[in-house]
Amino acid sequence: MDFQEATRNEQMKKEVLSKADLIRELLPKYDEQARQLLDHEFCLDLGRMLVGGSGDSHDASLATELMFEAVAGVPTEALASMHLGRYTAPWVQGDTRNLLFTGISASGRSSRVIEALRLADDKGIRTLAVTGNDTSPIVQGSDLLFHAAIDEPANPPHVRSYLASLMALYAIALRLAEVREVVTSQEARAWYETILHSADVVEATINENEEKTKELAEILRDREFFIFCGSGPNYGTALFGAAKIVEATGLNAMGQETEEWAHLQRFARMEGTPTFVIAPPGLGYQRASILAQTIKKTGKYLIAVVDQHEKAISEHADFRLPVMGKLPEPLTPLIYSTALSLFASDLAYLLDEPYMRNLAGRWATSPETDAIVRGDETVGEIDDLGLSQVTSVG
Amino acid sequence: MISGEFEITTGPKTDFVDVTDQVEELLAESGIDNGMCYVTHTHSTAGLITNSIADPATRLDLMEEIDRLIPTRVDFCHTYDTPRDASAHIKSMLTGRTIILRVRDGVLDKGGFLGILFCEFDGPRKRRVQVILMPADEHIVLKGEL
Repeated sequence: MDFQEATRNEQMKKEVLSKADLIRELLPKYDEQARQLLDHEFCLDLGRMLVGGSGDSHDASLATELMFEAVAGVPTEALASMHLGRYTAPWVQGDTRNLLFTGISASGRSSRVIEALRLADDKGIRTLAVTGNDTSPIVQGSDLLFHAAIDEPANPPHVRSYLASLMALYAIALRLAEVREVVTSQEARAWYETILHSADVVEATINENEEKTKELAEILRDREFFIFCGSGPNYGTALFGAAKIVEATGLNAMGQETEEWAHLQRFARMEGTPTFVIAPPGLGYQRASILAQTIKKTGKYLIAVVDQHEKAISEHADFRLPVMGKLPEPLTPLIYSTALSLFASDLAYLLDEPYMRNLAGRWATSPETDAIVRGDETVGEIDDLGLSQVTSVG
Repeated sequence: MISGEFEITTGPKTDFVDVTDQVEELLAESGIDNGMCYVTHTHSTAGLITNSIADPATRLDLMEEIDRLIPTRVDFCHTYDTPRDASAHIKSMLTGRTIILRVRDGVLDKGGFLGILFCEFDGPRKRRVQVILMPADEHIVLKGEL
């Protein structure tokens, strides 16, 4: 698919429309790669996983955490890259043989992710890099490499690389689950088929929402702040939804864990704030359905991103973006981000806003402030981080 | 020659499934009085044996010994699937996956206690068992051709 051919503000939509085919293309490849990469001993020895990334990659690690914990049976923690590196790796105590640090970076150049894996390596912890670029700096020094390669445009907002990260992590989790016999081979096959089926749900969801997201963009074209709420794996979806708004439109947006909304944004004075509640059937649904009433009562504009047959949240919603199929909750990030990306794409188109402000003027990147490594630059020496001062009281 | 097949659902991990009744049912439907009965399947991680079905504990002993001979380990070369799958291929080879019984006077000649046991080494799964019944005359002709 040639994304460079797409006109300005259409590139993102093109990426969204390619999602279903990308799932169908990647699953067999990534399943095969996970089987080749993770041998039996590795899978059975693994005791704990820490997963992290920056931006979309961080969102992907949050979105797949439940799959590792509930399906693969591996205690897993998803962390932002700086937390994973500077605030976790140096302080790991005891036997690290069964621990795995996984760093996700589509470009392979995210500075803090590279740093996190280096800090882990420095402690003798095994590291796995999940990246779309197998010649990038993240690969150097990583014990294992999962090559999540896809074609996509050079600059964000990206949809395909996020999906590729999700698919890679699901494939790894499924491999672990099967070899560790947390699921039988028959059940593992059923999970595989369900992931494949998610492509049909994505397709149906796009068809159902293509006009709806345009209509919603018209309604919300004057708003300047958006909130996305989700829980469990869809906290990752919420962060991703907010990221696409910021990248595509330049407007402000934030992702919030659904329950945390009740402790914070609930008290915000601003009325009419577009508040997306991402609530698939699952562990967070009941709380989302109660908080939907509070969202309305406090004068927000409630957008329900829910199953097509859902009622409790929908009846309070100002607008619905229905998801046209059901999946087990750990896999719902595959389908619940679809309408959000469509909306961000439509809003940017309507506002005629260049993605990422064309990375020009005050939005231009510079080597001093960049969060990514360019060319032969390094992320700096980990010895210079001042780690020893953390535990000093003198 | 008459052939038929049936599906079974096996239990988790390792399991013996007694398929004697299903085979005898197909034999009865065939109307064959004398000849040979071949029972087989096409699964690479399962076996097929005849053994005593009088005491179900016998099956526990059989499976324990098979597991002792071929334990599920992490150093098999075949790592594409699971360690259990890798060991199951070897167990399947050891037990074989085809048995032959004589048909005499319309019944399987299996003595007093023999039964036909499907051996699952990587369950649970849905498996198919094939039965090929060859009347005595046809069997002789085939032998003659050899």
